[in-house]
Amino acid sequence: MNAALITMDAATSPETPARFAPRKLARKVELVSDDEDAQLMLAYASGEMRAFETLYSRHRAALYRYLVRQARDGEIANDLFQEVWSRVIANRARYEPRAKFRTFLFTLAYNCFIDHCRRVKARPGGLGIEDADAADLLPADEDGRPEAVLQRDECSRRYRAALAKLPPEQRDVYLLHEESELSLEEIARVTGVGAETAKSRLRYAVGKLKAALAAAEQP
Amino acid sequence: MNGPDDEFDDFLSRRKPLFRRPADDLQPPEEIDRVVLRRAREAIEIERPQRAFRGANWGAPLAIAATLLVVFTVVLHFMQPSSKAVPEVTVQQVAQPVAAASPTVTTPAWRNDSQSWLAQIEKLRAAGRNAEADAELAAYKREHRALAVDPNR
Repeated sequence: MNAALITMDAATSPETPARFAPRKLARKVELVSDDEDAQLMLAYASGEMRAFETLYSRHRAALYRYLVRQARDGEIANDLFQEVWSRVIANRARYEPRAKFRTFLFTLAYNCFIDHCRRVKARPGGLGIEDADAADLLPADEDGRPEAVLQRDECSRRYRAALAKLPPEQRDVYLLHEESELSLEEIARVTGVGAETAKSRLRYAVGKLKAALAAAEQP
Repeated sequence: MNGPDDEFDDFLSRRKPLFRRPADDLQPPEEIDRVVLRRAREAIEIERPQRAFRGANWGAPLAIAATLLVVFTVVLHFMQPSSKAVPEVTVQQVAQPVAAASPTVTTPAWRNDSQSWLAQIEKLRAAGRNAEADAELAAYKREHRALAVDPNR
């Protein structure tokens, strides 16, 4: 198991005993000198609240969008959002920055969502969300004409339908790519599959969404 | 060549977005922001007192210094030469032994008058109590010598 996975395992199991003893700050900073977020996380672990505030302000919106689009339910997304940050807080002492903080954060988010699906014994399907944000992915149309609004709504409906029809694995990969801005290798690590598998899933997801939007744009 | 693979690679490398995305203003509710930040703050505030207790680097040296000071003071106290205790003297303590040691001595009446005193001496001699007579005579002489020295008596 590589170092990044060790870090993520520790982070996703807050109840488990501290298998990974925290090291001194200097050593940790040395490991992640290129990841400012990781240094902020270490600073928070050593008691600096301002570091957490910076970290939170940087990632809150992207994480929230990811969870809203995954859960397609505002209330569930709110709960999951709080749970993810609670795990970040709970794991601050065990945090070892051997991967980017963003990878760590979205691993928590992904696992929280999977845990939620296991609890409810289903993954969300259909068009349960009133997600105006889905329309943001559509071609921008600032024209307020009724026909343009109707066309944009239709595109949005088709897009959401296409997103909902995606197999969960493809949707996971696609949303991680869109919201977390992780690399394909990092997405593969988060979802626990090989990089080629992740790439293939992403390719299928993008193809289906593109086709859905193309159909919506046709008059 | 500009096939689907190139397009997908561009998408992967984020050089060319598949979907044009306007500014996305989807944000978590402010109430949730407050909850998360409060939890984060509480987590480190709970930890701080424990750290202060554990990490009090000056605590052990201070305790050792205080102990040494007490031990040194006690040892010094017992090593000093012990001065004899001077009992407290009170008027009652002095008066009681004096009173016990000196019972009231009544002066014979014949000593108040020199003629009677001398007559008493003669009586003692006549009775053969010469030692007593000599003692009385000596006392008589001391008394009268003292009177001669101290004219105020």
